[in-house]
This record gives sequence, C-alpha cells and structure tokens, in this order.
Amino acid sequence: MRIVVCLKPVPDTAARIKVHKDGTRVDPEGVKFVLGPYDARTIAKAIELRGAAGGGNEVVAISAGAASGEAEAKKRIKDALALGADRGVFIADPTPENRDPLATAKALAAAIKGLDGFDLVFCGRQAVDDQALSVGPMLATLLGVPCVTDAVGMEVQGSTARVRRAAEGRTEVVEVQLPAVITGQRDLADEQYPKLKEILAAGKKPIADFKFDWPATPAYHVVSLSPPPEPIAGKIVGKGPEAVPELFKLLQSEAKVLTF
Amino acid sequence: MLQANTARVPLATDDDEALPGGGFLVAPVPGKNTFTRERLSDEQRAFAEAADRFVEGEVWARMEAIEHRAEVEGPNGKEPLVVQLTRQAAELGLCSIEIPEEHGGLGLDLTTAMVVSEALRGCASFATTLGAHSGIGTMPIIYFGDEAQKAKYLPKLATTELFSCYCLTEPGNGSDALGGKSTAVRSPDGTHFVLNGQKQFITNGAWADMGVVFANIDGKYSGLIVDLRAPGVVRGAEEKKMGIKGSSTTGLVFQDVKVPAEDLLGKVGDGPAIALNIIYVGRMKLGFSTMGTAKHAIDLTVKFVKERKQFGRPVIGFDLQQAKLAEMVAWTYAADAVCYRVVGAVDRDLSRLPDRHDARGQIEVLRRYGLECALIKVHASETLSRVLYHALRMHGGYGFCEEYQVERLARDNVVETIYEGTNDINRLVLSGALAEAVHGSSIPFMGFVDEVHRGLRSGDLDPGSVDGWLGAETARVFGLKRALAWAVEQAFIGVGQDVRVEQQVMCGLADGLIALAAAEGALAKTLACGEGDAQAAVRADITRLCLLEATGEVRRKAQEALTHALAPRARAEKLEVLERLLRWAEPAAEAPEADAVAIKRRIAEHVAGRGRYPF
Repeated sequence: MRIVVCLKPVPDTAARIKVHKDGTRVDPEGVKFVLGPYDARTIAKAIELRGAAGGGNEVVAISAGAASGEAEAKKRIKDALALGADRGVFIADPTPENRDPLATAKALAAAIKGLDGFDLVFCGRQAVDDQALSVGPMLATLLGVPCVTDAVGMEVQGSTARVRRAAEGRTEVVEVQLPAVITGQRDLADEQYPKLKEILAAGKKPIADFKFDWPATPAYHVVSLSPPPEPIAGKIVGKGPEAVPELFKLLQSEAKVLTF
Repeated sequence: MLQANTARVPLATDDDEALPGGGFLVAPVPGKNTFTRERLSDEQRAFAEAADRFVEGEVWARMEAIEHRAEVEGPNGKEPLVVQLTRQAAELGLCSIEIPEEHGGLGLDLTTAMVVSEALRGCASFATTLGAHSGIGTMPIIYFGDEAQKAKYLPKLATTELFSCYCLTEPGNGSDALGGKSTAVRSPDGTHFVLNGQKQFITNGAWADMGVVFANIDGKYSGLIVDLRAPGVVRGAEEKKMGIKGSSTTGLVFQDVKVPAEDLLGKVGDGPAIALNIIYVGRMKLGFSTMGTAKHAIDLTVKFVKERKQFGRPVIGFDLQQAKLAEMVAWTYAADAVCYRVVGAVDRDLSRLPDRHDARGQIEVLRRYGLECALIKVHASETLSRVLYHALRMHGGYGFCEEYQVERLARDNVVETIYEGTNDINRLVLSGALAEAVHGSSIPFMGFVDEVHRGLRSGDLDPGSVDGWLGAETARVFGLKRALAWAVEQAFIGVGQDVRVEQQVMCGLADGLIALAAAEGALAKTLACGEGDAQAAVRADITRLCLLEATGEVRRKAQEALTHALAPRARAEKLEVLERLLRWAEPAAEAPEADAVAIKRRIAEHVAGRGRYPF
C-alpha cells in the first residue's frame, strides 16, 4: 500500500501575524513556519496504517513550496520523514505569490500520478493560514478518485477504508473504495513527537524533486487582507459560587447575552 | 575584517581560536566565524524543535500538576507525573543524546546536548529530574565506566528502565564536595564493598533505582555504582523546598550496603576526578537551560505588558518598562552568545581528537574549558535572576501571584545559583583558573600586558582601527580587554601569594571577566550574523548596550579590587591608568552609541513588535 500525505508549511499559531505592506498576504518576516496541526495528524495516521498493513508499504510526503526558500520548504517534508514517512517529493514553485488552491491541487495531482500508483492520499482538512478547505476535494477530482472530508478516525480492510466523519451534530461512518483522498480532522490521530533517532534517520531518507509547469497567472488572487479586530479583554469576576451573582449580572447588563 | 594596529596581538580576527582557559582575555576580538546559535545544523535545529514541542505540549501543559507532585499510573504502579514525563522524554531520545550508539544511545555531539538543555526551559522541576538522571547520574558511567559497566547500565539508563541519581553532597560537605565522610570497605573475600554513610540533597532521591555514590575506600575518595533498592539503603523525607517543588530532593542513608566489587567506578581514588570532570558538562547544561528560561521569561513578559493596560494604554508604552525589556533582551542575547561560543569551541576541539568518542580524550578537552564552564554557569543563571527581577516587576501585582509563571520561575532560579557548585564557588573556580593560566603561561597573558605597558610608557595607546561594520565597537572591546588584563596583572601583583585568601579581589576580577565575555560574545554573535541579517540593526544596538554595561562593570570591579590590592600611595596613579585604558572602551561622548536610553527604546520597540524574544 502506498500512502501519500500532502503537507503545507503554515505560520506557527502562536506567532504574531502581521499583514504584509502589499496588503494582500501575511508578512513572513519573523514568523516561524511549522507543520500544520491537521497535517501532523494525517502523518501520524498514515504511519499507523502503514505499520498495521505490514511490509512492502510506504508513506510518501509531498509538499510544494517556494523555489527561493527551498531549504526551508523542504524542512516540513523532513518533519514528516522524522515522524516516520519513508520518502519525500518536493515541488518547487518559482512564483508562490501566484498560488491558489486549484494550482496547488494540480501540482500535487501531477506529482502523485508520477508515483507509480497510490492507495490513499491524506490532506489536512485545511491549512490554518488561508483556510481555503479546497485542495483535498479538488485533488480527488483531478485524480478521479472519491474524497471523504473531515475524517476523525479510520481503518483499512483490503481495498476498502471505513472512515468516521464528524459532521455537524452527528457522527457518520462511511465506507469508501480505495484509492481515495481523505481530509483529516484533529481527532484523526494523536499528534506524535519526533524521536531524535528518527530525526537522524530522516537526514538519510530521499527527497525527490518533481518539476511542475505552474500556471503563469492564478485562478483567483487575494485583493486585500485585513487583520481581525482587536479582541476585547476578558474579565475574571471572582472564583467559586460566590462569583455567580456578579457574573450573572454582567452577562445580563454588559454582555447582554442573558435577556431575562 | 581588516585590522591595522600597532600592537603585536592583532586587534580582531574572523576566527575564534581564543578559548579555552580564559584565553579570550588576551586574544583578538573574534568575528564572523564565531559559532552561534544561528549556525546550528538543520539536524540540531530539528532536535531543538522536537524538544521544544515536547516541553510545550506535555510539560508546560501539566506544570501545576508537576509542582503539586501529582501521581499517575506507571509501568510498576503509581508514580509521580514528573517521572512519567521523563520516561516519555527518554522514548523520544532525550535521555540518550550522549550515550554511545553501541550502548543504546545516540552518541551525538555536545552542541546537540546543549540545544536540548536550552529547550528544557521554564520547567526546572522537570529539567532537574531529567538532568539528575541523564546528566550527572549517567555521565560518570559514560566517562569512567568500564565496558562491562557501560553494557550493563547505559542501555537501561537510556530508556529510564533504570532511574539514576548522583550522590556527592553530605550533611557536612556541600561546597567542600570532596571531603565526604562516607566509607566503603572491601570485604575480606574481595567480592564486594560494604558502604556506610549519609548523603544529602539528592535529586531523584525518592525514586532513583541506582546512584553514583562517592565514598572513601582506604581513605581515598572513590565512585561506586549503587543499587538503591538493595537492603540497607534508607531514603530520607522530602525536603520542603523554596522551588523546583515538583522534583524530589531527599537524603539517603547507607547502612552496611553491599556493593559488588565490579561496580567500583574507575579505580580506587578516582572520586575527585569523576566529581570534578562530570561537573563541567553539568555547569554548561545549567547555563543553557537558564538561558533558555530567560528567553521564556521575556516571552511571558512581552505578552503581559502588551496586553496589560494602565492609564489607558498598554504598559509597554511606558519608557521605564521599555528600558527593562531592552535590558532583559540584551542580557539574554549576550548569555546566548557566550553559551554557544563556548560549546562551539568545545565541540571543535572534540572533533580534533583522534577518536571523537574516546572518553579520556573528551574529559581532557572539557577540563581545559573548566574556566569557561564556570563562567557560563554563573553568567547565565544570574542573567536569568536579573531578567526575572525585571519580569516580576513588569508584571506588577500579578507577578507576585502563582497564576503567573514568573513567580515560579523566580523561586526555581534560586537553586540554579546554588547547585552545580554555588556561584561563589564557581567564581573562585573561574578566578583560580585565571590565576593558573596567567602564572602557568597557558595563555599569552604576559606578552599582551607587556604591550599595554609599552603603550603606557610611550603614551601611544591607540590600538588602531577596524574597518567595516561595528569596527569601532570591535576596537572598544579590544580596549576593554587591555584595561581588564592590566587590572588583573596589577591585582595579582598586589595580592601576591594571597591569591586564594583574597576572595573578594579574585571574585571582582571574575566578574570583570564575565562582563568582558558577555560584551565580546554579543559582538561576535552580531558580526557572525552579519550586516545583511534582517535584525542587524537591533543586534548592533544590543551589542552597544552590552558593551556600555560591561565597561561600567569592569570599571567598578577593577577599581574596587585595585583599591584594596594596591599600596595606598600607589592607588591614585594606578586608578588613573585604569581610566586611561578604559577610555578606549568607551564611545565618544557625542556619538549616538553613547546614548543608552535611546538604544534601549529602539530595542524595546523592536521586541514589542515581534511580540517575543526575537532571535
């Protein structure tokens, strides 16, 4: 079984994000880029499934990134290798500022088609930076395979995957014929910490370069990006039951969420 | 970088060959090839990130439970959470970095061990527990164990199947570490020793399975590997401590404990060598972890002062708070620079050994860096003290409350100035090593000072200039070296044979040397990062602030030391010479780099914008 995990470097969620002076994107200066939290879960699940399925299986980590910052972009693939993935594929992008989800999905599809077959493709349900939630379904369409979104659990039996989806107010269990694209939620697996030994081993695992002919112009582009409004500071009114009357009063008079 | 000067010692050099043994006092100012944190390899960076993520995700998230000694289900029943976290850390490899590969470890370089120590920040209870096990509880076996001992213990120490500790201190012997009274008597048939005695302040005392225990065998202090589950071992009650409350600190009593003869570490009488050599790495690690904690304290404080509003605006908007923040960052930057400069030099020397993994060779290299290890320990742990002093006050009343972490960090920091040799002891180690280097000519001290004397006689003290970015600052650091080296010489002449008795004078010189190391470290780091670095301007400001502070510190300490050491009638003249020399370490009064207030405002503005320690 060949399992592909698609990765995107995203700003650390603890980072202070500033809008770039061009007004359309995040200013990368001083921001630490990390593996997205959803991607980290899909890697853990992929490793688990590979282990369970026995020998002869592999996990391939694929990521597209700026050609100019190739070393940095490849680090996220190395993160996946350190977590146990077997090899990586990097798609250099000479004009990352032109990128939109469709172009990314096309690039990933081309790289995956070049793999000599695949059984499962994982994407995080979303990248925490642009939150487009579209690469996974687009990729499935381009590969001509089904897509199950928002997986919170799954197991594989032969060529069938049984996937648990957390949908609004309900849990759904679906069966899907492989190959398929699965987008993962946080609960898909526990996040794993890389072992130092695996970090050492990751340095020796191959990362292949895949050449993709990126479209010259984006299908859509961001016209403007504005930061969220300043958050209103919280208030601690006290501790324990004696704080309840004051809290109740403030919820009525100040927050106006209680109307009785 | 070019240098054009009249002195025999060149003013500056790109490389950093000035260490060890305090050689930096009389060496050219190092430049762009100095080892810094920014030069870590991708792998070392990945190790740091892995440890960072573990600490943030597993340790910080459970800090309150750790401090209250919460228990969880372990492999052999209930065990303290801090023990279980150490086991998890061991699974990731954090307890086996220095253990050779053939014994189940990773056999990685010292820099990697230090990067991981830095990551174990802001959680001293956990770091102490892990360090007592994998550092001082394991390293003696790596360095002094025979092959059988290594094969028997190291694989189990790597996984925490055996939990270790280090038993040196006794009720009557703390700083006087080698004077312990415990005894081990060889049995008539030679198969074992009978151990008797009492140990005090043993980290991991409550749960360690084994320990490296020091005792007198035939009157010679020796090291033994002792099974603490053996009959006759009595564990004392937990100490009620001011800080590191989540860790275990107990006494241990040994009553006729049988120790197999094959568990003697090294030879009879190797105790002092084991104890002294192990502590070098321990001091270095403590330097890195306190330096890491200082960065963490800055992160907490920046977040607080940006959110906390008084008089209708965030606290960070006030000039005095900006000054504190700038100082915290500058001090920590210098501590980071010194730590990495030293470990880079140690690893460089280790890599030059014919066999990188030869334990004796490693010890010999580390021993040469005894001065620098003591320097790092004092400087970083006290940098953290000063950073926390500001951090607490910038938190106002909240800083005094347990809910905000700086309160715990400040309590934990106290022991960091006490264990691994108190900072007083380390200052004496440092100044003693300097005296030895000066008298033993292991550093080219006399030639350097002779040059200063020649300049004083001829009236030409101009050290020349350095071209390029921060050239003036480079020349000023060189000026500071000349002033301090001259003061050291004069003080040594003044106190004569009383070097060991004149502790105040010696510690004053040690403080001067630490201040010089900080300023030079900051400069070298900034030069190594280069003028093209995105934060080059603020790095340069930090360097200037460190240099101003170091010059002030050297002036204060040298004045005090010389005033005491010199004959009263010689004082006025010599103190004037000191001033003449220090003038070369100072900026022109009209120069912008003389204005510390403006420098601090710029640093603070940058750090506030980044929202955290920015490097």
